[in-house]
Amino acid sequence: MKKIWFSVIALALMLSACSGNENKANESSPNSEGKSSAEGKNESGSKSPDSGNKSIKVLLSHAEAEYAKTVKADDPYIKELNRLSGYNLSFDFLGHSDYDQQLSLRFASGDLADLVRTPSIDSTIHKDAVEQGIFKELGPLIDQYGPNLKKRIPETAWNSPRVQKDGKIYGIPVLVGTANDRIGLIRQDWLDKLGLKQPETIDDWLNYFEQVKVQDVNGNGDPNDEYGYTMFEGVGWSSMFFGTFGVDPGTWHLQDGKLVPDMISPKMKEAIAFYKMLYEKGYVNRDLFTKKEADFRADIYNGKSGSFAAAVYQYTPDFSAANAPKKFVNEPDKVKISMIAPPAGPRGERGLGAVSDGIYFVWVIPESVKNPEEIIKYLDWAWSAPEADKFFAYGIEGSNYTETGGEIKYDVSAPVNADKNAFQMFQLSINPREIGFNNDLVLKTLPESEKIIAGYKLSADIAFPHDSLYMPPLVTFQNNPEISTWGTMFVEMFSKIMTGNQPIDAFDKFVADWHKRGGDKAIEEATQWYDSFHK
Amino acid sequence: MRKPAAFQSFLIAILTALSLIMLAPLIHILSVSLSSPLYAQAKLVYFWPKGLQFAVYKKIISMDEMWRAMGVSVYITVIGTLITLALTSMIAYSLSRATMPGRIWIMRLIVLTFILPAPLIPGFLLVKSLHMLDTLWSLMIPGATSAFYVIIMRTFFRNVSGELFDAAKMDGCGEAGIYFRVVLPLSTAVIATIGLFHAVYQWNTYFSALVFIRDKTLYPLQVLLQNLVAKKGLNNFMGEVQFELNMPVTPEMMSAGIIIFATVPILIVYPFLQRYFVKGAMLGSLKE
Amino acid sequence: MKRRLVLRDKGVLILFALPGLLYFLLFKYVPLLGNVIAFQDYNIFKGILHSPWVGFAQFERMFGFEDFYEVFRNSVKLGIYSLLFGFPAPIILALLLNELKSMAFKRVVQTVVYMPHFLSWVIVGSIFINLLSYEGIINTIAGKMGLPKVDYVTQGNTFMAVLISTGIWKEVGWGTILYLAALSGINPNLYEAAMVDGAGRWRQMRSITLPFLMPTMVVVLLLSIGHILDANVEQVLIFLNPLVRDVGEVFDTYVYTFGLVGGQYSYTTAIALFKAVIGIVLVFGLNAISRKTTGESLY
Repeated sequence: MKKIWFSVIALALMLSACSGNENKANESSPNSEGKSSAEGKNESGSKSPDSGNKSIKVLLSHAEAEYAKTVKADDPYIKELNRLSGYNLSFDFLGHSDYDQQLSLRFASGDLADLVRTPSIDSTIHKDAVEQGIFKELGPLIDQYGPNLKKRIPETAWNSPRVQKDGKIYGIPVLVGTANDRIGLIRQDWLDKLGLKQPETIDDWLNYFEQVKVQDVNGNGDPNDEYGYTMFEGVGWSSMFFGTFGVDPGTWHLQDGKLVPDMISPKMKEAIAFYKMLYEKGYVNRDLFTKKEADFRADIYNGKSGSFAAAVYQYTPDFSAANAPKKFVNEPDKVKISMIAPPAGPRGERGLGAVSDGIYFVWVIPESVKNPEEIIKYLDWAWSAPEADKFFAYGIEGSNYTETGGEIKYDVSAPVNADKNAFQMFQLSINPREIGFNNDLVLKTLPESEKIIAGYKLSADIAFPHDSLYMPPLVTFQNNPEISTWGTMFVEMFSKIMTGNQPIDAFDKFVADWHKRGGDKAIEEATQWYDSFHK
Repeated sequence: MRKPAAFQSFLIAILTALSLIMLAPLIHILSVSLSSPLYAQAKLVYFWPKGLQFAVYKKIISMDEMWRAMGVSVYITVIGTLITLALTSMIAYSLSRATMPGRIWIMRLIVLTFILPAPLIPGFLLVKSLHMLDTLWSLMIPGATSAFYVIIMRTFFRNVSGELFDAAKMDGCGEAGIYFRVVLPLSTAVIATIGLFHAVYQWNTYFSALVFIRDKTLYPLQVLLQNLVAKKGLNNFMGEVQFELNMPVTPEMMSAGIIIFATVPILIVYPFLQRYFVKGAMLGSLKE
Repeated sequence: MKRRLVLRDKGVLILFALPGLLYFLLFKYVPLLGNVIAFQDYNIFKGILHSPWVGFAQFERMFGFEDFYEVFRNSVKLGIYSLLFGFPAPIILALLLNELKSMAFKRVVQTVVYMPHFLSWVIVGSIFINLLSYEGIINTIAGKMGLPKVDYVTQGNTFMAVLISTGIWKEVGWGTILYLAALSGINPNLYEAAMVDGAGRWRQMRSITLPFLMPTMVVVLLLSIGHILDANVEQVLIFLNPLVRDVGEVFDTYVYTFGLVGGQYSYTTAIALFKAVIGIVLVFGLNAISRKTTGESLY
């Protein structure tokens, strides 16, 4: 009985005690009970937890990487990283899909780690954390202990409000490692069969779609089961012709001194009319708004898709000369896929994938952490040491790769790298710098590396320029998510016009509604941000 | 009057059709889990495996922690269900008795907990302040009973014939005696039912383990198994890994295999409990 | 002497209830207090005690939401239809099973029909979407029979039916268990006596089986009404698509979009509380009515 009442009182205290300051007091000995026993087994690689201020606990998500999800105690990669760096790192990989929720619980209860992954310092997961003094200000520490961080991480990333606020730096960016990765993929073997060159203009593309529609390009005897272009319910991902009309539903452009979302631009109406035409003519699959991603992939593998929007990194595992025959069940001997840019439109515009700040996620260090300078030094090492470069690209020497006379031999499909996708562990999961798959050191070891590097270059060329780079999530949209860019209001209007449920002029009604339902406020807020950011 | 035999055949026909409709997806899922990824990812598998292989199950079985997690799940299912049955039947019994003081108000308050939403953060802080984090108690105690269980059990208890109570009292039984000697033996059907409901709930423990358990050696089966499935979507921009080679099984096959693997043990509980559901098992000792 | 016995019995009853009462107090009511954040602008760093109070502002925001009426209407519709079709379905199935003479067959059917309960909506949903799509099996068969093809999942007037029928498909067998348990309490002698009196199948069902099931039916019905505005989020989300959002968006999917934005604890709690208050009013009101008319009640 007594114990229960004690607990009730303790709870009451907890509820009140979750403010930043008191957390700090608890922080140094997080969750003493039961935890110590867990550590040895659970948090891999921490052999002697008391090795002084060189020990760093990292809290992050496993990002659905197979190896990290099932990582064991005494993992060889963590061991090797500790050996190379001289630090004692331990990793707590939380689930990815529920990471936001888990992280907010950790913040609410005050048990955090030394280095914490978050999408942004002003994320709603930990609303007001900067104001409440939860994160350590890192600017001076970086200047003193991390000279290479400023050198190696580009300024475009440091400028992002995801890492700094009011001129002070609270986060360290982890990079995507490439300017853009979106690209179109097209069935080169079908083009060849039809005697067509790779389409460039809108008319070229429409001609390809028409040929795919009327002919039996997959050769299964049914001329009606293939589409020139396929999409699925993730319209944001699978649409590839918005840029052709100079818009992207996710971005904003400056217009007469105001920052206005492309969603409501008159050019958007043209783009939607184009999609409507694709649908009416039967160039795109009619079930796109209910099609799940797995079914979309199934259609591609069954030879029902002539082209689709994708990313360069998908090429190697699914569409390369080595792997495509293992996927395209009906045409394993014929299939050949090319990377391609969407067409330029009436005004010569084109684009796929908006220009971004290049940040994958952000590291923060809680205010209570005792050895922030050591953490900065570790990150500095990760960004600058030659052995770190090699480790985060190729793993452990003698096991994942060999080096003879300065020549590195690394085969990504060798069992040691490919089983459980182990290469993801050193290139991504414990790599504190970037998504290592996109690193040049890695790209040049891939089969068909020239084609892939060219793909990344083409992708960078078609990155869609806009004026909303660095724009933080608008407060207006937090209150009315339905009017946000790619919000339900836009998608509903788009789907109804595209499928012919509503006439194209429903777009004008959408624009009027959007303004009324908070859009005007959003434009005002965005313009204010723009003016103050670009002073 | 219709001929009984004709009626029986009619019933059998209807119920057979129904069973087939219910069974079809399960057979489909089983077939997917046993097919080769080439056919599975192209969605060409229907009710028979194509390119038969056992990669999914080999992968599941080959996890060292698998049997440990299975043990954790069996443990929390057995112990959790026993706790639940004891806790629920006791309070349900006393609330079924007219002599229990304040029973109407208590019932009202319990019904309220059925409807009101339970916020996550205070629940988490409570478990933390009770020092239950990272213990198996955190998976059994916070969900140990529910308004639904209590209300259902109480309703069944109230159906027990009042005559039997009087007879028991004559024999000198107190309330405890009635509970143990009359109510429990006559309520095996509802106890089996609530036991089954809770066993299934406990067996499927997933989210609470993610929240309350950090020591991976204490993970129940579902958490371990779900870790084998890649929950990825191209269409979300949440920064998942999108570069994989050599996938011996597809995420869909893995989910299918997990359903089969994790469901079969709990599925076979029901047929064993069915003897408690046989018509007239109580031999008319309930209210008439 | 008798008085003392009564007192002792009361003591025993209270003792019996005590662990359960403590459980409800600690694990239900203490976290329930967290619902006060519906009247605050809650911030995880400030906690409940230090977050600012905002009165009914979160509720005003909810009522002020342009699509509030639409979402409310959809939730009510889905709730009522689910109840109308979902509540009788397991009872009917239980009665059919109860009529079976062959015990072995009965056991097999029972075990098979409760299996779909164990499948996740993600898997079930994708199977049904493929079956029901324009090029799916059902439309292919319909087309061959000369019937019109219907895109069930994207049509406003069929979407709700898809939710209800897949919901029944998945849960009917599971729901039957409770009624089968209740049926097992019926004394077979009653049926024999009724047969001697010349009562037919229907008479037996009306005068023996149904009255016996009544308490369970009432309890299940009332409890379902308590959650009438709660949808199965996982289910609705897997079927929901932009073409039917105006008829398919319910409170829970609306709240889900806020979950994606994150950090809106107070607002989402206010919505949940609003649904709960409606549930409470309905349950306590209908319980009183039921007590007067059928004699059955939750408490």
